[in-house]
Amino acid sequence: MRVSTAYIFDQNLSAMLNKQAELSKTQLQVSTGNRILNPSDDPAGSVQILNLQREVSLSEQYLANATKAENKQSNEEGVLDSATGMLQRIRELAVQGLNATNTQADKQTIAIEIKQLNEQLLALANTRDSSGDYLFSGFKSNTQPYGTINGDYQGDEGQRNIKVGEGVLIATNDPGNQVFEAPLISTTTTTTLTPVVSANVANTGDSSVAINNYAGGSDAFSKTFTFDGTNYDDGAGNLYPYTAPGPTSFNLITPPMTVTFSDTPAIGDELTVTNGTGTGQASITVDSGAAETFSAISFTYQAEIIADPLAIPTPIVGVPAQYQITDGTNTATVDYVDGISVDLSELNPSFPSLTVKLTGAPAEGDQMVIERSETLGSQSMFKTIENFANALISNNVGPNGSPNNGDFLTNISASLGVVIDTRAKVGSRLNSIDQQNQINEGISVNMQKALSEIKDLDYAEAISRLSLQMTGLQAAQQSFAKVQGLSLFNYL
Amino acid sequence: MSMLNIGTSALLTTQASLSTTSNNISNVNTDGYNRQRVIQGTQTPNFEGGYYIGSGVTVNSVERIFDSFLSDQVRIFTSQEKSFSTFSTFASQVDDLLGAPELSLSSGLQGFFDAVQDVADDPTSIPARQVMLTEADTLAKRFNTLDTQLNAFNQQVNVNLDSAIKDVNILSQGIADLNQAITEASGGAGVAPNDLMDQRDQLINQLSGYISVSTNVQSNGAVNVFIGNGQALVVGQSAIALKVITNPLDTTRSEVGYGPSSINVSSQLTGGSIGGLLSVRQDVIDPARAEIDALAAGMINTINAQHTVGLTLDGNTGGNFFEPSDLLTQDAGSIRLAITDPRDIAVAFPVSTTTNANNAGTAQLNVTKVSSLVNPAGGQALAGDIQLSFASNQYTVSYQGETAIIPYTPGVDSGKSYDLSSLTFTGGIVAPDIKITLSGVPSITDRFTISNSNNGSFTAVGDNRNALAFSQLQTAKTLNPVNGVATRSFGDAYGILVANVATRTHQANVGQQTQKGLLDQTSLRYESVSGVNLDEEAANLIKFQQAYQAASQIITVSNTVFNSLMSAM
Repeated sequence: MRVSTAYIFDQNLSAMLNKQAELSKTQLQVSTGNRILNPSDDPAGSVQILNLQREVSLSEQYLANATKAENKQSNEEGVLDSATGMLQRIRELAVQGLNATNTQADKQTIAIEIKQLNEQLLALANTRDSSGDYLFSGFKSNTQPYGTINGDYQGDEGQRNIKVGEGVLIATNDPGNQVFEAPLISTTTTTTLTPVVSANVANTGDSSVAINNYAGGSDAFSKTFTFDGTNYDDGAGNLYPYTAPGPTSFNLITPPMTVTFSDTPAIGDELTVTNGTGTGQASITVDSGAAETFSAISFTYQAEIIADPLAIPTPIVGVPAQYQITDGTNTATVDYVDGISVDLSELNPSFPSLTVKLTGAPAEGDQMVIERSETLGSQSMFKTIENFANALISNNVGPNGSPNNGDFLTNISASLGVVIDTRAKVGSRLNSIDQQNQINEGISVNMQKALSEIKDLDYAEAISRLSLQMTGLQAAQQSFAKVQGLSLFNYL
Repeated sequence: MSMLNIGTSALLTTQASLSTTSNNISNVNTDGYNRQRVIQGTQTPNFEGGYYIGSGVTVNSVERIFDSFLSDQVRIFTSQEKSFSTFSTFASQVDDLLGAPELSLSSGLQGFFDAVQDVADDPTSIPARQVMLTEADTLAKRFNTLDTQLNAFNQQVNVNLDSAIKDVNILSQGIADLNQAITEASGGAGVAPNDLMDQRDQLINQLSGYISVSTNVQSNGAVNVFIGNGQALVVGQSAIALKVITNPLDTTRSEVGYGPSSINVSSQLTGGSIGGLLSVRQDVIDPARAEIDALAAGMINTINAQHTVGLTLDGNTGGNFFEPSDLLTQDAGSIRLAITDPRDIAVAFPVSTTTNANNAGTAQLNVTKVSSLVNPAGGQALAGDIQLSFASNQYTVSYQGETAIIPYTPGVDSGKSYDLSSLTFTGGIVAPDIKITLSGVPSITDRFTISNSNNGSFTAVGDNRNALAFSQLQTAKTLNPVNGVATRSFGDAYGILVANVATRTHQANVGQQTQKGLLDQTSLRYESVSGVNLDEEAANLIKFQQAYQAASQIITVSNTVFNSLMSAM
C-alpha cells in the first residue's frame, strides 16, 4: 500500500503529540498524587469520592462535636464532683450538729460553716461554661438558674443534645431542677391514744365490757357505766338496757365507738372506758437517712407496775414505766424517763436508724405512732440546707413543725443521691461518647482507606507508566527524525 | 509520419509528465491536493503500404487520482470527529467546573453543615453563628459562580455558533463560486479542471468539519450540498445562507436559521462543530443549569421551611434563611443569604416542654418537630398551652378547651412518635403540626405541658433543637420526589449531576477517540489513493527524465539519419 509523504509526516507528528499529552497527564497524576484528575476520568469513581468525602467529613465533624460534648460533660462532672464533696461535708457537719453534747455555741459555729458551704454549693449550681452559658439552666443559657439561696429554679427543662454520630444524640447538660432539687421527705409523728377498759375493784358481779370498734383519735375521754339492774347508765343521761348474760353491743356517739357488755353484772357494778389523758410525745431528733421509708412504728406506754411480793395469789413483779415499741413485726421495749433519747436501731437492728426523743407524762395505754410520709414535690437543696442551718442556730431542730429540718439527714442523703445519680448519668454519657468516638474513628479510617483506593494514584504503576511513555515518546521522536531523512531525492 | 514528429510527440508528452510530476512534488504539502497523472496514449497510426506504422504518443488527459467513496467517508468521519471533539471540549470544561474543589457544591454544602453543627454545639456563640452565615454565603456564592460559569459556557456556545455559521456561509459561497467556475471550465474545453475540483472538494471537506453534509454531483460538474434533513446549502451556482437567530423563548440562546425566512433548523442539524455545539448545549449545559437551579430552589425551600419555624436568639421567628422566596425566581444565579445578623439565625424551637413537678412516673415527652407557627410575627407555634395528662394506658391531650386521646401503653409504646395535628379533638379543632415522642412509664395523673417558648419574653437561648433539625437536612432526602417520596439529599443531587456530566464527557472523549481512529484509517486510505509520495515522484522523475533523454535521442538519431542521407547525396 502506498502512503503519501505528507500523511506519514502528519501521522507521526500527531502520534508524538498524543504521546506528549499522555505523558503530561501521567506527570500531572504523579505530581498531584490523584488518579482522577477530572470527574470524566472515572464518573462512577468521582461520585463515590464525593460521597466518601462527605462521610469522612461528617465523621470528622462528629468527632469534633464529641470533643465539645466531652468537654461540657467533663466540666459538669467536675462541678458535680465538687457538689458531692460539699454535700458530704454538710452531712457530716449536720450529724455533728445534731449531737446532743454540743453546746449552742458549737451548733452556731457548725451552722455558719454549713451556710458557707451552702453558698459555695449555690455558686456551683450557677457555674458558667467557657462560653459564658450557665451549665444548669436548661435552654435558658443566659439565665442564672438559682438567684438566691431561697430562690426558685429560673431555668427550664431543656436538655441540649449534641450529634456525635448519624442518629446519635448525646445530652450535654442537666437542668438544675433535676440536679439540685430532691423530693422532700418529711417524717411526721402522730400520737394515737388507745382506749382502755377497766372494772371497779369493788364490783361484786361478774361484769365486763369490751371495745369493739374505735374509730381512733387523740381525744381523751373517760366514761363510766353503772349497772342499775336493767340498764347501764353512763351518768350523762344515757341508759343502755342490758339483759344478762349478753353480750349486747351499743354504738356510742361520743366517743365514736362500739362497746359490748357481757356476763352477769351485779347492781352497782361500774365499768370504765378511758382514753389516755397523758401528755407523752415522741419526736425524731436524729435520722441517719439510711432507710428512706419504713413502716409506721408505734410506741405504747405502760405505766410502772409496783412490785408487790405479797400479792395473793401471785406476787407482782415490779416493772418500771416503759414504752413498748413495735412496727408490727419487730418489737422492743424501753424504760421511760422523761426526755430520754433512744436510737431505735440499737434496740432492735431491724428498726430504722432513728433517734427518738420521748417526753411528757403519758398515761397508761397511750400510744404514739411515728411514720414517714414523702411529700409530693421537690425543693432546692439550698433551701433545705438553709432551713436546717437556721434551725440549728435557733436550737429549733427537731420535731414536726420546724420547717423541713426534722428529716434533714434523710433529705440531704436524697439530695446527695440525686447529685450522684446525675454524675452517674454524666459518666455513662462520657462512656457513650467514647464508644461513639471509636465508631466514628473506625468509620473515618475505613472511609479514608476506601477514598484512597479510589482517588489516590498507584505510584508504582504510574511511575512505570511514566517511564514507558517517556521511552515511547523518545522512540517516536528518534524514529521520526530517521524516517524523515529517508528520501529517494537524497540519491538524485 | 516522420521519426522527428514521433520524437517530438514523445518529448512533448514526456514534458507533460515531467510537469505533472513536478506539480505533484510541489504540492506535496498542499491541503486537498490530489495527485495527478498524465494519461498518455498512442497517436493514430498511419496506414502505409498495407500496414499501420505507429505515429508516436500523445497526452490523452491529465487526471486527478480521486476516490469519491473514500472522500465521502472522510467527510462523514470528519463531521463526527469534529462534533465529538467540540462536545468534549465544552463538556470537559463543565466537568472541570463541577469537579473543581474550590467551586464544588459538595464541599460548599459540607462546610455549611459543619458550621450548622458547630452552632448546634454552642447555640449562644456569636462566632459560631457568624461562621455559619459566612459558610452559607460561600455556598450561595458557589451557586452563583456555577450559574455564571454555565451561563458563560452558554454565551460561548452562542459566540462559537455565530462564527461557525459565518464560516459555513463563506464556504458554501466558495463552493457555489467554484461550481460556476467548474461548469464554465468543463463546459468550454470539455476537460475537467482538476485544481478547481480539488479546491471545491477541499471546501466541502472544510464544511463537513462544521456540519454534516451530503453531496450530489450534477451532470454539468456542479455539486449540490445538503445539510440537516435535506436542506440545500449549495444548489448549482447559488448558496443559501444560514443565519444565527435568537430563540424566542429564551433570548440567551442562539439558534441556526435557514434561508431567507430564517427557519429554525437547530434541531435538525447534526455533526461537525455546529452539531457538537448544539448537542453539548442540549445534553450537558442545559441539564446542568437545570439541575443546579433545581438544587438551589430545593435548598432554599427546604432550609427556609426549617428556619421559618425556629426562633432567633432574640425570640423572633426565623423567617427566610435564603432569598429569594418567590418560587418563580429561585435559581442558582439568584440565591443569596436573607439574613446578615448572626443573632437572626433561628436555632431554637418555638415550643418548650414542662414536666409537672409532681409527676411520680418516669415518663418523658420530647418535641421532635414543629412544622409551622400560628403567629409567625410573635414567634408562637401554639394558640395556647397543650396539656397531656396520663390515665390508664392513655394520655388525654387538652388544647383550646378541647380534648383528644393518645393511646399509650407503657412498655409497648415507649419511644413512639405522635403527630398532634392528626389527633381528633372533641370539638373538631386541629392542633398545630407538632411531632412529639413519648417514652417511659408514667404514673396516673402525670402531666406534661407544651407551651410557646416565646411568651412575650424569650430566654431559652441555649435551645439548639432547630439547629439539630437543620443538621439533619444534610443527609435527609428532601429532593426529587418520586410518588411523593423524596429520593435525594442535597449531596446526592449534586453527585448525580457530577456523574451525569462526567459520564457525558467520558462518552464524548471515547467517541472522539473512536471517530479519530476511523478518520485516521479512512484518511490513510484516501491518502494512499490520492496523496503524493515523494519517493514515487522521484522515481517517476527519473523515469520521465530517462524517457525524455531517449526521445531526445530519437531527434538526434533522426538528425543523424537525415545527415547520412544528405551526405550520401
